[in-house]
Amino acid sequence: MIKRFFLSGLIASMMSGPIHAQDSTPNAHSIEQGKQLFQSCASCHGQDAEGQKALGAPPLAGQLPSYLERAMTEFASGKRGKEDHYAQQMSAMSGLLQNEAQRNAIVTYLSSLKTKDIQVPNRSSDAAYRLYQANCGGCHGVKAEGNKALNSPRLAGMDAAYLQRQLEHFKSGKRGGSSRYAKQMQMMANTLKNADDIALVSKFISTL
Amino acid sequence: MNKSLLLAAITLAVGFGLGQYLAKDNAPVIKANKPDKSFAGGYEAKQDDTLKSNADVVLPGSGDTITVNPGQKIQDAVIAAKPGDTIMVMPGKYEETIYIDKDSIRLIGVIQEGQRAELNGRGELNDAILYSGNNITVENFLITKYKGNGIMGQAGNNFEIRGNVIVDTGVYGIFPQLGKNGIVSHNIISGIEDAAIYVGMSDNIHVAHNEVFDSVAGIEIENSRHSIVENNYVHNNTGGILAFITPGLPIKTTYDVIIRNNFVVGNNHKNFGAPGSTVAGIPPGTGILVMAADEVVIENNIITDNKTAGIMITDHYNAPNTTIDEGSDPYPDQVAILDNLMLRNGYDTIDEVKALMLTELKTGNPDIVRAGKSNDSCIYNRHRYITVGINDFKDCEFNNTKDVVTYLLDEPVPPREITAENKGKIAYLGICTGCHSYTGRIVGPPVQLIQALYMENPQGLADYIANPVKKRDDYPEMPPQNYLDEETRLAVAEYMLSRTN
Ligand code: HEC
Repeated sequence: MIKRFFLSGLIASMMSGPIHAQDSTPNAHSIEQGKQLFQSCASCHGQDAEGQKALGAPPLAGQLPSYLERAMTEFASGKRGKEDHYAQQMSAMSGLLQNEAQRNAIVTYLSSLKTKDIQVPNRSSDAAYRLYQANCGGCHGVKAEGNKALNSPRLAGMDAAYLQRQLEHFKSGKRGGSSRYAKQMQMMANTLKNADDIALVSKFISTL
Repeated sequence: MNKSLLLAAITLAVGFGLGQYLAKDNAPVIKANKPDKSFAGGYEAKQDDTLKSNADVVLPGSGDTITVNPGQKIQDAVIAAKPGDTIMVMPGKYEETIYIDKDSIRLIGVIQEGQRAELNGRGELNDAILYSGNNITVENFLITKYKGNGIMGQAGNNFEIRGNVIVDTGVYGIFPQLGKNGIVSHNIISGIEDAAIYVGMSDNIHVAHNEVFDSVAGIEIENSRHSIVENNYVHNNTGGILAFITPGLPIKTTYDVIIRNNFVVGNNHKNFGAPGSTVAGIPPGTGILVMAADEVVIENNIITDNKTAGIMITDHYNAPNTTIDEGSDPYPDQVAILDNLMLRNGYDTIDEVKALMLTELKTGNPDIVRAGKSNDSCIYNRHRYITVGINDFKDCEFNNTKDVVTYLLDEPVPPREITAENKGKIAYLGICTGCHSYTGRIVGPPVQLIQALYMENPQGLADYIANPVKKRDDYPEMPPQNYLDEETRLAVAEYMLSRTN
């Protein structure tokens, strides 16, 4: 077990190697370009993409690249953006996202940002912990760190109100539509029986 | 002088009066073993419809003997064997997974001057021995370094698993799943990440004379009925002996379990269960744990040095890492605690238990703790222990279990019928539910999550289980199910996707 963790750690650090490497790599170039482009987003999502609760903007730092790409494409194409007024604000900004090269640069920049280690309190007797691990952790990770193999975004650090809104949108069908991932999420949102469960699990994730 | 004497006298009188009052309420009711009456047991073979069958049984041991020497493959001998044959495996090292899918095979390790036939998984193989046949015996092996199971039964009845030494082997040491009429005895098992002995969704099981230690759970009777756990030595696990209902499994009850004459000693091992799994919630220092199981009788055990509590009884609401299953009664009812020798338990208990004790203004180290609801439970000689939460337990109307010698049956029970229609279901019950429950996390992710991932895509699921890839850092690997034929894999995929609880 320990060996396996070590190994996956090793592979991860090998993979992330180039991103932190010297300026001459193409990645460093797009990180810089992405950083420039991100300035238009920073007023809502925060200077370090840490999210701004008061504006309803989720953190983007450390988010899985594949998820960022998908979300931006969906806002750009108008597939997302009508769920609520926050989403409308986001679609108003989507002009920036029309260009694939620009999207890629932003993704590269955001996923290069360091995030703090996630601490999961050992609170297995706590109902919220249980609910999270039973219903969400299997895809989003025990620490809500996200899971690339399952296309599940990182949730750690997101604000409770944001999470609650999204869960409600999935449940009511406002968010999601026809894509397979969205349907998966709709199904799982429906395993949360009521508003109390949604609030409980959202609050738990927001503490990570 | 006079005055103070008087005062002393008054104090004495008041003290005495008070003492009497207290005694009236708290005085031990000494029973002198009255009533001397046995638990009647909860099983009547006459009323058990599953016993009716006119299938012919080939008796194990009635056929030929095949010998396997080091350098040969045990699996080849299994393939060559016919029902009734005995396979004798000579001492030496064997690195393979053995799958027994025929009936009435005895697989026996030969012990020569202490040397055993060793099954070694090199830390790479998943399972040592899987059987789906009926009337299987697995005896006298040394099993080590597998990642999944030591010995796992998948819907095989009339099994005998005895004399094996299982060291440092994955998730479950001995794991009969969906079996009826089986015995697990004289095994020594240690270093298991979940349960050393895990009886899952089974009936009429006898677990006796085993030594289990250094594991997360020692002996676990889960979603099973008519079982006896006796004469085992259970030490240094996180939790010693467990009688459970795990929510979200297709068979929803545990009842009629007798736990007697065991040593349950110093089960204080650090919990190394997979995060979020049911057993990961067991507080270190739990001697015997009853969760939602009914008619559990605990008698004559020696329960010492378990730091959280000697006996813990809880419903699903108060249990760690469990979800609520509408199909299961969440309360442990009709639990009977008869005489047990309890010493030095609860000396470093958890905050939840301390809080419970505060509500009853109790001090000291708890032997017996109950959290949540429990109906119609009882205790015998309650004055012997420090308890919390059992004030509404009645006095037991029986004080022993001697009328119930065993729940094993005189005749082998017929095999479960497997047809094209129920193939998927049997595989699901016999295999998948060992690690997947509907709503919660056992070892693998919950079934409702798998349904979301593979909706309308049973073929994708069938392909995954034939050749699983690792997807989740914090979960172990899922063992490949490619020993199931293609048709069964698709059938089980469809069945898994169709479950609703
Ligand atoms: C020994 C435990 C074990 C058994 C038995 C088991 N599984 Fe799993 N299963 C796991 C674990 C652990 C995972 C998570 C693996 C990962 O994420 O890397 C898993 C994951 C899965 C997944 C999710 C795949 C994905 O894409 O995320 C499916 C589907 C699945 N199992 C189906 C089954 C079926 C069907 C059976 C019965 C034939 C079964 N499993 C038996 C442990 C088990």
